[in-house]
Amino acid sequence: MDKGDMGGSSPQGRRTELVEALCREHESQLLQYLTRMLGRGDVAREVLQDTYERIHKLYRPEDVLFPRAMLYKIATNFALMRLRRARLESTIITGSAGMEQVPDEAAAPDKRAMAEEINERLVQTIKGLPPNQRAVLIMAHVQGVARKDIAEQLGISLKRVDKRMTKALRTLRERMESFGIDLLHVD
Amino acid sequence: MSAVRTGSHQTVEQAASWTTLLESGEMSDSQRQAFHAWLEEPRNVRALGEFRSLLGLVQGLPEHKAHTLRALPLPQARFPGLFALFARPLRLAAVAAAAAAALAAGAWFGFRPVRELVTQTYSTETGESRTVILRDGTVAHLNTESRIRWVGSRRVALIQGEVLFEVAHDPQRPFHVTVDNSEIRDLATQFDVYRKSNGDVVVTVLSGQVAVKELTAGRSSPAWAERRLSSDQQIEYTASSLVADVHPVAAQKAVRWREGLLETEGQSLATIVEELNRYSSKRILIADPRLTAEGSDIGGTLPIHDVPAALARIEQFGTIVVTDIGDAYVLTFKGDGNSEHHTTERGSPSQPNGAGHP
Repeated sequence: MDKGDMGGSSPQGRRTELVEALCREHESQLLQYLTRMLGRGDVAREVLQDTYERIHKLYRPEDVLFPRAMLYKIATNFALMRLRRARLESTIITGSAGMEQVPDEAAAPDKRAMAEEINERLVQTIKGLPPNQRAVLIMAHVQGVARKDIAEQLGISLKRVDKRMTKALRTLRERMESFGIDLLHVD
Repeated sequence: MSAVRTGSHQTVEQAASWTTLLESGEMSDSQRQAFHAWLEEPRNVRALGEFRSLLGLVQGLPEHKAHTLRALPLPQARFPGLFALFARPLRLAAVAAAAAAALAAGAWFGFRPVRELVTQTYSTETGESRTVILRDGTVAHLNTESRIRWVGSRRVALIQGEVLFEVAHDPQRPFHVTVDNSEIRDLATQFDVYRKSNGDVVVTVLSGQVAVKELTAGRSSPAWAERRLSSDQQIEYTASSLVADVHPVAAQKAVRWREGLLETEGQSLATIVEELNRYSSKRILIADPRLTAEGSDIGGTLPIHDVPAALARIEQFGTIVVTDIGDAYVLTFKGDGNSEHHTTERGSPSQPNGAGHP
């Protein structure tokens, strides 16, 4: 069914493939996120285009620990630029790993260990959340259950789903900060 | 605590609330205006960025880690579904929607939560997809026109359509799905079961391991022996024979319906149309045999919940014209504006005279 005949391509071609796969994988969700943030589908599409162009130019897969976080960060950055058209140079969220930096070959194993460490801390923190908050977070963001389905399954209101989610996110952020993990520069 | 601390605490709290509201997809225009104003403040932007990043980390957890989280027990609702029912009359829009649904589909449909509580049967309409969590904590994502029934002790019958299961881990009691006269036994895993309208069953494993076997009910010996599948493997069978034995597959691509997308690369036009027809109450027909004969070069993804847009994409590939004839979409060959003549004229279907298409 699947023809896995990509072995012979050049490193550059391989990179392009990875970039395209990354964009494709997250396209619908990213577009939804941007539309929600900006309130306009057409503007969201333009921002998505900007994001893709930036990533095609500068993304080096081997240097990025968390591609999804990076993608959203760049998209958020472009969205914010849109919101402040006057000042086109937004420097608020800056410096992304794997972008505009000299690659450091030796750092790769270290980086992987770091990713493992961060993921492990995250999982332990989620496990330690109060069961009600934990359930809402896992259902929404690990299992991909829609908000209304979460409310129905748990027999609670949408408002309560949101409340628990907000609490869970705050606790997670606080714990990650206490571990010395800088969420803005984690990718 | 200093004033600065209090301020940043507030910022974090607000950023968390905005993140949740953004994710809910229910931000009103006036709320969005307030949100944009809030973003004027650089430290607010940073706080929002932190939460965005956090969500990215959670959503992007590697499969083995995500798995340990999925395996955690969920708090069970005492009366699942009932709350949603009682909550409904409190919201006017929902009442209107429920009334409209009741008129359109019979009152039964408007009370889906109670009906499902009683029958333990979960289903979707044409073009609908939804997620339910079964009593054992297993997550079932239902694709279009699908129906499953919980038949007790970690056993689910798939009656119709396609369901992606994320099975809650319990080494003592494996999870079973029965489809017609076959059984899929699972040992903590993610897998997709699709019963096609022609009765063929396709099982695709995303992670973990499953065993598939024919249930003969003591009659004769089964037509084929039990098969074991692990991640990125697929099998297709009918009631009496194997259509395609265990073979490798890009499982993630096969379940892109979860995101509302159909992966078309390497598929024939006939397969693509068959797939789209699952989501469309208006039939899509291929009027010209030349279109089914050749493999298509339609690459990329199509939006399954917007069939007109999907057909427009297909048209862009150049050789196909889509005509909306009211109760169906008809696909014809581009370049001979009279394809009807072609199909009704006697003889030579494979040798059209104007052989100059690329």
